[in-house]
Amino acid sequence: MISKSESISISQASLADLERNLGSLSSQYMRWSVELPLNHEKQTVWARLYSAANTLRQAVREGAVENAIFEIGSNLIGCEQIALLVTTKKQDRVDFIGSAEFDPKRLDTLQRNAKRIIEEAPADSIFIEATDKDRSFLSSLGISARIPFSLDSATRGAIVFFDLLPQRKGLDAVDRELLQLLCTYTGPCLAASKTKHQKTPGWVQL
Amino acid sequence: MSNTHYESQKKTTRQSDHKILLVDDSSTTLLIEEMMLRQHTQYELVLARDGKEAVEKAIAEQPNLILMDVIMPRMNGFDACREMRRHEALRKVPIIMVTSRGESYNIEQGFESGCNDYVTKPIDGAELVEIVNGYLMAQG
Repeated sequence: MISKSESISISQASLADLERNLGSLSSQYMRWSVELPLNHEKQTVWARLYSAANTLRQAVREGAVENAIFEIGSNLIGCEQIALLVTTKKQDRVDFIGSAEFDPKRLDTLQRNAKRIIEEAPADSIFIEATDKDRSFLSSLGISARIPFSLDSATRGAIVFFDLLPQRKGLDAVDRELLQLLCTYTGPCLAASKTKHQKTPGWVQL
Repeated sequence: MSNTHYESQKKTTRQSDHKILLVDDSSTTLLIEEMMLRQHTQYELVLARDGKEAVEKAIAEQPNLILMDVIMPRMNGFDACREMRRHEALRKVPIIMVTSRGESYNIEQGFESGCNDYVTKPIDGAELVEIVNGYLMAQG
Protein backbone atom coordinates (compact mmCIF):
# COMPACT_ATOMS: atom_id res chain seq x y z
CA MET A 1 0.00 0.00 0.00
CA ILE A 2 1.15 3.53 -0.56
CA SER A 3 0.93 6.13 2.16
CA LYS A 4 -1.75 8.80 2.17
CA SER A 5 0.80 11.51 1.42
CA GLU A 6 1.67 9.72 -1.81
CA SER A 7 -1.84 9.28 -3.04
CA ILE A 8 -3.26 11.75 -5.49
CA SER A 9 -6.72 13.13 -5.56
CA ILE A 10 -8.26 16.46 -6.41
CA SER A 11 -10.49 18.71 -4.35
CA GLN A 12 -14.27 18.72 -4.72
CA ALA A 13 -13.98 22.18 -6.28
CA SER A 14 -11.50 20.92 -8.88
CA LEU A 15 -13.74 17.95 -9.54
CA ALA A 16 -16.66 20.29 -10.23
CA ASP A 17 -14.40 22.41 -12.45
CA LEU A 18 -13.31 19.37 -14.43
CA GLU A 19 -16.88 18.16 -14.99
CA ARG A 20 -17.92 21.68 -16.01
CA ASN A 21 -14.90 21.97 -18.30
CA LEU A 22 -15.62 18.68 -20.09
CA GLY A 23 -19.30 19.64 -20.36
CA SER A 24 -18.41 23.01 -21.93
CA LEU A 25 -15.97 21.36 -24.29
CA SER A 26 -18.50 18.85 -25.57
CA SER A 27 -21.14 21.61 -26.01
CA GLN A 28 -18.59 23.71 -27.89
CA TYR A 29 -17.69 20.84 -30.24
CA MET A 30 -21.37 20.19 -30.89
CA ARG A 31 -21.98 23.89 -31.63
CA TRP A 32 -19.06 23.97 -34.07
CA SER A 33 -20.39 20.85 -35.78
CA VAL A 34 -23.85 22.39 -36.19
CA GLU A 35 -22.44 25.67 -37.53
CA LEU A 36 -20.43 23.96 -40.27
CA PRO A 37 -21.79 22.55 -43.52
CA LEU A 38 -22.10 18.77 -43.40
CA ASN A 39 -19.32 18.23 -45.92
CA HIS A 40 -16.77 20.42 -44.10
CA GLU A 41 -13.53 18.60 -43.37
CA LYS A 42 -13.71 19.55 -39.67
CA GLN A 43 -17.05 17.75 -39.12
CA THR A 44 -15.33 14.48 -38.27
CA VAL A 45 -13.01 16.20 -35.80
CA TRP A 46 -15.78 17.99 -33.92
CA ALA A 47 -18.08 14.97 -33.84
CA ARG A 48 -15.40 12.66 -32.45
CA LEU A 49 -14.10 15.21 -29.95
CA TYR A 50 -17.69 15.83 -28.81
CA SER A 51 -18.14 12.13 -28.21
CA ALA A 52 -14.78 11.75 -26.43
CA ALA A 53 -15.30 14.72 -24.08
CA ASN A 54 -18.81 13.56 -23.25
CA THR A 55 -17.63 9.99 -22.64
CA LEU A 56 -14.88 11.15 -20.28
CA ARG A 57 -17.29 13.36 -18.32
CA GLN A 58 -19.71 10.47 -17.93
CA ALA A 59 -16.85 8.14 -16.93
CA VAL A 60 -15.77 10.44 -14.09
CA ARG A 61 -19.35 10.35 -12.79
CA GLU A 62 -19.50 6.57 -13.01
CA GLY A 63 -15.94 5.83 -11.85
CA ALA A 64 -15.02 4.02 -15.05
CA VAL A 65 -12.37 6.23 -16.66
CA GLU A 66 -10.23 3.33 -17.90
CA ASN A 67 -13.20 1.84 -19.77
CA ALA A 68 -13.90 5.23 -21.35
CA ILE A 69 -10.29 5.43 -22.55
CA PHE A 70 -10.56 1.96 -24.09
CA GLU A 71 -13.85 2.92 -25.78
CA ILE A 72 -12.31 6.08 -27.22
CA GLY A 73 -9.25 4.16 -28.40
CA SER A 74 -11.31 1.41 -29.94
CA ASN A 75 -14.36 3.20 -31.39
CA LEU A 76 -13.08 6.71 -32.11
CA ILE A 77 -9.44 6.05 -32.99
CA GLY A 78 -9.85 2.52 -34.30
CA CYS A 79 -7.22 0.50 -32.41
CA GLU A 80 -7.81 -3.09 -31.42
CA GLN A 81 -5.73 -3.13 -28.23
CA ILE A 82 -5.08 -0.38 -25.73
CA ALA A 83 -3.20 -0.39 -22.44
CA LEU A 84 -3.05 2.10 -19.61
CA LEU A 85 0.16 2.38 -17.57
CA VAL A 86 0.22 4.34 -14.32
CA THR A 87 3.26 4.93 -12.10
CA THR A 88 3.22 5.59 -8.38
CA LYS A 89 4.25 9.07 -7.34
CA LYS A 90 7.72 7.78 -6.38
CA GLN A 91 7.92 6.19 -9.82
CA ASP A 92 8.92 2.91 -8.14
CA ARG A 93 6.16 0.78 -9.60
CA VAL A 94 4.00 0.76 -12.71
CA ASP A 95 0.43 -0.55 -12.68
CA PHE A 96 -1.25 -1.77 -15.83
CA ILE A 97 -4.58 -2.49 -17.31
CA GLY A 98 -5.26 -3.72 -20.82
CA SER A 99 -8.42 -3.49 -22.89
CA ALA A 100 -10.56 -6.60 -23.47
CA GLU A 101 -8.66 -9.61 -24.83
CA PHE A 102 -5.32 -7.84 -24.48
CA ASP A 103 -2.53 -10.11 -25.72
CA PRO A 104 -0.76 -11.57 -22.61
CA LYS A 105 2.60 -11.71 -24.44
CA ARG A 106 2.26 -8.05 -25.27
CA LEU A 107 1.36 -7.27 -21.66
CA ASP A 108 4.55 -9.01 -20.60
CA THR A 109 6.56 -6.87 -23.03
CA LEU A 110 4.88 -3.76 -21.66
CA GLN A 111 5.69 -4.75 -18.10
CA ARG A 112 9.35 -5.21 -18.94
CA ASN A 113 9.55 -1.86 -20.73
CA ALA A 114 7.00 0.17 -18.79
CA LYS A 115 9.29 2.78 -17.28
CA ARG A 116 11.00 3.49 -20.56
CA ILE A 117 7.67 3.74 -22.41
CA ILE A 118 6.56 6.39 -19.94
CA GLU A 119 9.90 8.18 -19.76
CA GLU A 120 10.72 7.99 -23.48
CA ALA A 121 9.44 11.46 -24.26
CA PRO A 122 8.60 14.80 -22.68
CA ALA A 123 5.33 15.08 -20.75
CA ASP A 124 3.22 16.45 -23.57
CA SER A 125 4.75 14.48 -26.40
CA ILE A 126 2.44 12.34 -28.51
CA PHE A 127 4.03 9.51 -30.43
CA ILE A 128 2.38 8.32 -33.62
CA GLU A 129 4.05 5.49 -35.50
CA ALA A 130 4.78 6.38 -39.13
CA THR A 131 5.02 10.11 -38.47
CA ASP A 132 7.47 9.96 -35.55
CA LYS A 133 9.88 7.37 -36.92
CA ASP A 134 12.76 8.63 -34.77
CA ARG A 135 11.29 6.89 -31.72
CA SER A 136 12.52 3.49 -32.83
CA PHE A 137 12.16 2.04 -29.33
CA LEU A 138 8.38 2.56 -29.31
CA SER A 139 8.07 1.34 -32.89
CA SER A 140 10.05 -1.79 -32.03
CA LEU A 141 7.37 -2.72 -29.48
CA GLY A 142 4.71 -2.53 -32.17
CA ILE A 143 3.11 0.56 -30.66
CA SER A 144 0.88 2.52 -33.06
CA ALA A 145 0.57 5.52 -30.76
CA ARG A 146 1.60 6.48 -27.25
CA ILE A 147 0.60 9.43 -25.17
CA PRO A 148 1.86 10.40 -21.75
CA PHE A 149 -0.40 11.91 -19.09
CA SER A 150 0.31 13.97 -16.01
CA LEU A 151 -0.95 14.59 -12.51
CA ASP A 152 0.17 17.66 -10.58
CA SER A 153 2.60 18.59 -13.37
CA ALA A 154 4.45 15.26 -13.15
CA THR A 155 4.27 12.56 -15.79
CA ARG A 156 2.41 9.69 -14.16
CA GLY A 157 1.65 7.32 -16.93
CA ALA A 158 0.97 6.58 -20.55
CA ILE A 159 -1.66 5.15 -22.83
CA VAL A 160 -0.41 2.87 -25.58
CA PHE A 161 -2.38 1.91 -28.66
CA PHE A 162 -1.77 -1.16 -30.81
CA ASP A 163 -3.12 -2.68 -34.03
CA LEU A 164 -5.10 -0.27 -36.15
CA LEU A 165 -8.33 -1.75 -37.49
CA PRO A 166 -7.83 -3.20 -41.00
CA GLN A 167 -9.80 -0.42 -42.72
CA ARG A 168 -7.50 2.24 -41.22
CA LYS A 169 -4.42 3.11 -43.24
CA GLY A 170 -2.82 5.16 -40.48
CA LEU A 171 -3.51 7.69 -37.76
CA ASP A 172 -4.35 11.16 -39.02
CA ALA A 173 -4.94 14.73 -37.82
CA VAL A 174 -8.32 13.80 -36.31
CA ASP A 175 -6.65 11.07 -34.25
CA ARG A 176 -3.98 13.50 -33.13
CA GLU A 177 -6.69 15.82 -31.76
CA LEU A 178 -8.26 12.91 -29.87
CA LEU A 179 -4.88 11.83 -28.51
CA GLN A 180 -4.24 15.39 -27.39
CA LEU A 181 -7.57 15.44 -25.54
CA LEU A 182 -6.67 12.18 -23.79
CA CYS A 183 -3.18 13.51 -23.01
CA THR A 184 -4.71 16.55 -21.30
CA TYR A 185 -7.60 14.90 -19.47
CA THR A 186 -6.61 11.33 -18.55
CA GLY A 187 -4.66 12.30 -15.41
CA PRO A 188 -7.28 14.73 -14.04
CA CYS A 189 -10.11 12.31 -14.89
CA LEU A 190 -8.45 9.38 -13.10
CA ALA A 191 -7.81 11.59 -10.04
CA ALA A 192 -11.31 13.08 -10.18
CA SER A 193 -12.87 9.66 -10.41
CA LYS A 194 -10.95 8.67 -7.30
CA THR A 195 -12.12 11.77 -5.44
CA LYS A 196 -15.72 11.23 -6.45
CA HIS A 197 -15.89 7.54 -5.68
CA GLN A 198 -13.44 7.54 -2.75
CA LYS A 199 -11.47 4.67 -4.23
CA THR A 200 -9.08 3.85 -7.03
CA PRO A 201 -9.82 0.99 -9.39
CA GLY A 202 -8.47 -2.34 -8.10
CA TRP A 203 -5.64 -2.45 -10.61
CA VAL A 204 -3.95 0.82 -9.70
CA GLN A 205 -2.62 2.90 -6.81
CA LEU A 206 -2.52 6.47 -7.98
CA MET B 1 -41.39 32.71 -49.20
CA SER B 2 -38.51 31.61 -51.43
CA ASN B 3 -38.50 28.31 -53.22
CA THR B 4 -35.38 27.29 -51.32
CA HIS B 5 -37.11 27.89 -48.00
CA TYR B 6 -40.16 25.97 -49.19
CA GLU B 7 -37.99 23.06 -50.31
CA SER B 8 -36.18 23.10 -46.97
CA GLN B 9 -39.50 23.03 -45.06
CA LYS B 10 -40.80 20.24 -47.24
CA LYS B 11 -37.64 18.21 -46.54
CA THR B 12 -37.89 18.86 -42.79
CA THR B 13 -41.52 17.74 -42.69
CA ARG B 14 -40.60 14.52 -44.47
CA GLN B 15 -37.63 13.88 -42.18
CA SER B 16 -39.68 14.32 -39.04
CA ASP B 17 -42.04 11.59 -40.29
CA HIS B 18 -39.19 9.08 -40.32
CA LYS B 19 -37.92 7.08 -37.38
CA ILE B 20 -34.42 5.60 -37.03
CA LEU B 21 -33.41 2.87 -34.59
CA LEU B 22 -29.79 3.26 -33.43
CA VAL B 23 -28.29 0.11 -31.90
CA ASP B 24 -24.87 0.00 -30.22
CA ASP B 25 -23.46 -1.03 -26.84
CA SER B 26 -20.75 1.61 -27.21
CA SER B 27 -21.71 4.97 -25.79
CA THR B 28 -19.00 6.73 -27.84
CA THR B 29 -20.53 5.50 -31.11
CA LEU B 30 -24.10 6.20 -30.01
CA LEU B 31 -23.09 9.73 -28.97
CA ILE B 32 -21.71 10.51 -32.43
CA GLU B 33 -24.66 8.96 -34.27
CA GLU B 34 -27.19 10.68 -32.04
CA MET B 35 -25.49 14.08 -32.15
CA MET B 36 -25.01 14.09 -35.93
CA LEU B 37 -28.55 12.92 -36.69
CA ARG B 38 -30.23 15.18 -34.10
CA GLN B 39 -28.25 18.27 -35.08
CA HIS B 40 -28.18 17.81 -38.85
CA THR B 41 -31.56 16.15 -39.52
CA GLN B 42 -35.09 16.05 -38.11
CA TYR B 43 -35.51 12.28 -37.86
CA GLU B 44 -37.01 10.76 -34.75
CA LEU B 45 -34.45 8.57 -32.99
CA VAL B 46 -34.95 5.45 -30.88
CA LEU B 47 -31.98 3.82 -29.10
CA ALA B 48 -31.14 0.22 -28.13
CA ARG B 49 -28.01 -1.14 -26.43
CA ASP B 50 -27.91 -4.76 -27.65
CA GLY B 51 -29.33 -7.03 -30.33
CA LYS B 52 -32.15 -8.42 -28.25
CA GLU B 53 -33.38 -4.98 -27.24
CA ALA B 54 -33.02 -3.91 -30.89
CA VAL B 55 -35.35 -6.68 -32.10
CA GLU B 56 -37.93 -5.81 -29.42
CA LYS B 57 -37.76 -2.09 -30.23
CA ALA B 58 -37.86 -2.69 -33.98
CA ILE B 59 -41.07 -4.70 -33.61
CA ALA B 60 -42.63 -2.15 -31.24
CA GLU B 61 -41.48 1.05 -32.95
CA GLN B 62 -41.51 0.04 -36.65
CA PRO B 63 -38.57 2.28 -37.62
CA ASN B 64 -37.95 3.38 -41.21
CA LEU B 65 -34.23 2.56 -40.94
CA ILE B 66 -31.99 0.65 -38.53
CA LEU B 67 -28.35 1.45 -37.84
CA MET B 68 -26.83 -1.49 -35.97
CA ASP B 69 -23.49 -2.46 -34.43
CA VAL B 70 -22.20 -6.02 -34.96
CA ILE B 71 -20.46 -7.04 -31.73
CA MET B 72 -22.91 -6.57 -28.85
CA PRO B 73 -23.91 -8.42 -25.68
CA ARG B 74 -26.94 -10.76 -25.50
CA MET B 75 -27.40 -10.89 -29.30
CA ASN B 76 -24.97 -9.77 -31.98
CA GLY B 77 -25.93 -7.59 -34.93
CA PHE B 78 -25.96 -10.43 -37.49
CA ASP B 79 -28.37 -12.54 -35.41
CA ALA B 80 -30.53 -9.51 -34.65
CA CYS B 81 -30.68 -8.73 -38.37
CA ARG B 82 -31.78 -12.32 -39.20
CA GLU B 83 -34.38 -12.17 -36.43
CA MET B 84 -35.76 -8.85 -37.72
CA ARG B 85 -36.06 -10.20 -41.27
CA ARG B 86 -38.38 -12.96 -39.98
CA HIS B 87 -40.99 -10.30 -39.19
CA GLU B 88 -43.08 -9.27 -42.17
CA ALA B 89 -43.18 -5.60 -41.14
CA LEU B 90 -39.38 -5.41 -40.89
CA ARG B 91 -38.51 -7.31 -44.05
CA LYS B 92 -37.99 -4.22 -46.19
CA VAL B 93 -36.65 -1.83 -43.57
CA PRO B 94 -33.09 -0.79 -44.55
CA ILE B 95 -30.57 -2.11 -42.04
CA ILE B 96 -27.11 -0.53 -42.06
CA MET B 97 -24.46 -2.43 -40.14
CA VAL B 98 -21.86 -0.47 -38.18
CA THR B 99 -18.82 -2.70 -38.07
CA SER B 100 -15.38 -2.47 -36.47
CA ARG B 101 -13.98 -5.00 -38.94
CA GLY B 102 -14.00 -3.88 -42.55
CA GLU B 103 -12.65 -7.13 -44.06
CA SER B 104 -14.64 -8.63 -46.91
CA TYR B 105 -15.63 -11.85 -45.08
CA ASN B 106 -17.14 -9.77 -42.32
CA ILE B 107 -19.06 -7.61 -44.78
CA GLU B 108 -20.31 -10.71 -46.63
CA GLN B 109 -21.56 -12.14 -43.36
CA GLY B 110 -23.51 -8.92 -42.83
CA PHE B 111 -25.16 -9.09 -46.25
CA GLU B 112 -25.96 -12.78 -45.74
CA SER B 113 -27.73 -11.93 -42.49
CA GLY B 114 -29.97 -9.50 -44.42
CA CYS B 115 -28.41 -6.08 -43.99
CA ASN B 116 -28.54 -3.59 -46.88
CA ASP B 117 -25.37 -1.62 -46.33
CA TYR B 118 -22.52 -1.07 -43.90
CA VAL B 119 -20.30 1.65 -42.45
CA THR B 120 -17.05 1.05 -40.61
CA LYS B 121 -15.84 2.42 -37.30
CA PRO B 122 -14.56 4.97 -36.46
CA ILE B 123 -17.80 6.58 -37.61
CA ASP B 124 -17.55 9.48 -40.03
CA GLY B 125 -20.53 11.55 -38.90
CA ALA B 126 -21.06 13.41 -42.18
CA GLU B 127 -20.85 10.20 -44.23
CA LEU B 128 -23.37 8.59 -41.89
CA VAL B 129 -25.89 11.41 -42.35
CA GLU B 130 -25.50 11.21 -46.13
CA ILE B 131 -26.09 7.44 -46.22
CA VAL B 132 -29.12 7.68 -43.92
CA ASN B 133 -30.56 10.56 -45.97
CA GLY B 134 -30.00 8.57 -49.15
CA TYR B 135 -32.01 5.58 -47.91
CA LEU B 136 -34.80 7.61 -46.33
CA MET B 137 -35.23 10.04 -49.21
CA ALA B 138 -35.59 7.04 -51.51
CA GLN B 139 -38.52 5.97 -49.33
CA GLY B 140 -40.12 9.41 -49.85
